[in-house]
Amino acid sequence: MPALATVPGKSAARVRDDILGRMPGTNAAYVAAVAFCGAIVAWALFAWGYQVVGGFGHTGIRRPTYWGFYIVNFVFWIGISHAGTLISAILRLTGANWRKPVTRAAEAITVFCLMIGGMFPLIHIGRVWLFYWMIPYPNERLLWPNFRSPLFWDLTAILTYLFGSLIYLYLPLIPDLAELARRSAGAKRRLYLFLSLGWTGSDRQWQALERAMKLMSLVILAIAVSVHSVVAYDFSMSVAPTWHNTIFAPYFVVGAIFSGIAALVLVMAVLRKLMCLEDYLREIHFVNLGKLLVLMSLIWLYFTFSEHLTTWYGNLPGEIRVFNIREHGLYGFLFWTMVACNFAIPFVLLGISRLRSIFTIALSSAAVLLGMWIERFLIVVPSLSTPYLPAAWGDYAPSWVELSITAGTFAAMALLYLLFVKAFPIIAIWEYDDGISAR
Amino acid sequence: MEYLHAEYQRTEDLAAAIRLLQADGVSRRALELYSRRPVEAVTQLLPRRSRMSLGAVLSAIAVGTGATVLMYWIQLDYPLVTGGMPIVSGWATAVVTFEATMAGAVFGTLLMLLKESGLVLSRRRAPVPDLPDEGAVLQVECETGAPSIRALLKNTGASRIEVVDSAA
Amino acid sequence: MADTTASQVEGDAQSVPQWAMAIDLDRCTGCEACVLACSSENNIPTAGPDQAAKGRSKQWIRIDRYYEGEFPDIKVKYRPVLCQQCDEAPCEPVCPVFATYQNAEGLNVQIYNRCIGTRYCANNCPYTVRFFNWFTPEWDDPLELQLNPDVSIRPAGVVEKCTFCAHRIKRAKLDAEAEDRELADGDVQPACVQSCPAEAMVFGDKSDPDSRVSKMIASGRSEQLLSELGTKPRVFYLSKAD
Repeated sequence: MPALATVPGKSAARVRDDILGRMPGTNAAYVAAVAFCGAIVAWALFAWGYQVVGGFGHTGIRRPTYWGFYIVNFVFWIGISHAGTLISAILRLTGANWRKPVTRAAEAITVFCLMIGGMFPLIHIGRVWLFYWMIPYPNERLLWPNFRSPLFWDLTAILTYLFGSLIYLYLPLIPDLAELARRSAGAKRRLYLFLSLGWTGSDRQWQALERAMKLMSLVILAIAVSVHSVVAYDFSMSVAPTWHNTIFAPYFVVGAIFSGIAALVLVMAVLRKLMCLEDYLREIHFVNLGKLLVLMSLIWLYFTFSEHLTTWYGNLPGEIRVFNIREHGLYGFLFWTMVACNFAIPFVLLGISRLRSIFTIALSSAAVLLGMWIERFLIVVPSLSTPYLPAAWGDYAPSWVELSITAGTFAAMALLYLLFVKAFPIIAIWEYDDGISAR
Repeated sequence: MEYLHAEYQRTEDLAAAIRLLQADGVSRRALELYSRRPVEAVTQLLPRRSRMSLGAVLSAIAVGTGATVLMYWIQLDYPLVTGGMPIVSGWATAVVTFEATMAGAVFGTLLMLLKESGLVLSRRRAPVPDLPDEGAVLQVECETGAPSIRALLKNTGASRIEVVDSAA
Repeated sequence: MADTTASQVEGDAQSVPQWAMAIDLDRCTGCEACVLACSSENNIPTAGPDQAAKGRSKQWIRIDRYYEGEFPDIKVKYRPVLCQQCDEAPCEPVCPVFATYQNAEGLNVQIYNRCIGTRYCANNCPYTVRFFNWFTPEWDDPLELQLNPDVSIRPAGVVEKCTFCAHRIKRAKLDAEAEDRELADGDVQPACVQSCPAEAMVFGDKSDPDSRVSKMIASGRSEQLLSELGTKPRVFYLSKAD
């Protein structure tokens, strides 16, 4: 007969103590990691300041490639933010129990990636101090924003997604915050108590919470699909060669989920090592996510093939030139690296069962992240640098400003995660239910 | 009025107690279960009425419609032609309508959650028991000194029974 | 309202001129006098050799060269490319802050003060005739002494482009008003048109069937650049059919 504690071998209280006990303390290694990431972020902020004060010319962006690394990073980070949604919402709705130890890690990725990705439109625009002109409110300029602009759609989509995913992360955190409040003292206790909004653990609250999470899963799923579609619309609403393309919205959504899973696997592998979560994040979780990764890899390959075949066969003068430069030279090298990273490496490493291990799954995920970054680069840059009129052709190479800011965003991700795991349990304690080995 | 707090360790005992209490005429409203984890078996025995989905849908419709009407009004009030597009068009604003609708759903869900769970806006005066490490505490609101209920709780296997005065 | 035009929104189409330009490619010698005239007329800053090598120089009008054959048996064709002032301009709807839109006279106007520099319009221009201000503009001494007071200087971070010399249109209208007469064909001459020694360029009101530009458009030799994209440009190129 099942006791109230649903984890065989480990009582609920053990699990609680265990997970809370593994939240990092303020030791030298932790401080060093925070300082290291903080320094890179500070350097990136300096680079941004340099660009704002000194002029946009300090970046490598030039005519005709008016969008560069910033937009590539924007699409990349917004793409990764789909990790939380997929793992958490789809698996929650389909009742896949194995998701439980990984949901919070995924939801946190979503929130942080959106915060980082959402910075790029600001970094990217020429007069960042006027960014609020995009926000619709009655103003002294007597001018509202242009609702027909895909960039305005972007603003609404990303703000909705950020708002939604923050709540989606926060709601299941509430019971754990109450637990943390019970265990801490002083200012910390008051903070956790405040954040837990007066959670008592009554069945009314549990039922309302679970109902809300189900609703939120549905809504957040719809939002997530729309967000990356809107990011794709930024391109497909344009007339630039190869951008005006109906396949982009679903292609981007698939790519986003693909890179999201990869990011989640990588984050989990790091957490598992650094926080000694071996008994919680077990091989089966990695294998399950690895299977999803291979599935998404194949879907990605299918979309990529369809897109390129259509362009090649259509042979439109503007588009075929972009197609051709993507096949040769530096872009050609990048193209085949992308195919290797996104398809060959995960397919071989995860397809052959003897090679499948946590290490190879994490390795494939790293390859996929690289491949997906290259994919976005190959969408943004070659099309822009090869416009219709050959007289306007140009090239693009990033300057130290863009490289610094790009590095800074990865450090920012690490920093946000470091701070998060210190303040909050990375595994949802109350949800923790080892759905795999139990029964 | 007083509150009885009975601690249970086993799901069956708890379920049996709830069933017997309800057969005894104790209303659902007088029962409240406190635990550190959700107790799924009890969800069916103590279903709480919820209008959360309705609230989310209504809020979604309201915010989505509001945003769309605002956009149309703005575009007609200050018409500017871009790219030969019509001044107002469902296509051009469909994405914003959708996002506003979804933001409305999120907002509605959040508000309904706060209302139904009593978080932040709680008006319930019942005392909150200390949560045990394992198991759950069943709270029964009853007449002062109700021996039958106390006996029932003891007989169904409550490991600890506490009496809390409503004044406390 | 399937096909809204700016003149429908802002008033009667009859009463406002519909500006257009015709360029006779058979007359163009590729001398780039128009490029120079445009730069000095419109206060376009010099980029300097380093920035120019990076692709940061600005030419609101440029001469595209097309070569046919191999040296020495080579033929060069020139095509001045400026903002085509498209009726259905792809650059306009993508701007989130209405920094660019279509006005009643068919000009694709750029409001520098509104621009926040997303550069989406510049990407979405199939003719690549939109330019971004990478730095606060500077002129080598003594070029700053010849700045045109009729044209604003664009700050860093905004997009700019050919305006069909909107300030000259304004001036011509004011002059006509002061002299109490209608605007006549040829009253408005953008700097490029005025400076073309071969008189290859003609500017005027295409809603007036008697204007020179209307006659050139109707000559049977005219075509629009990348017309297959459906942008409906207001610049018409004339060349012999060959």
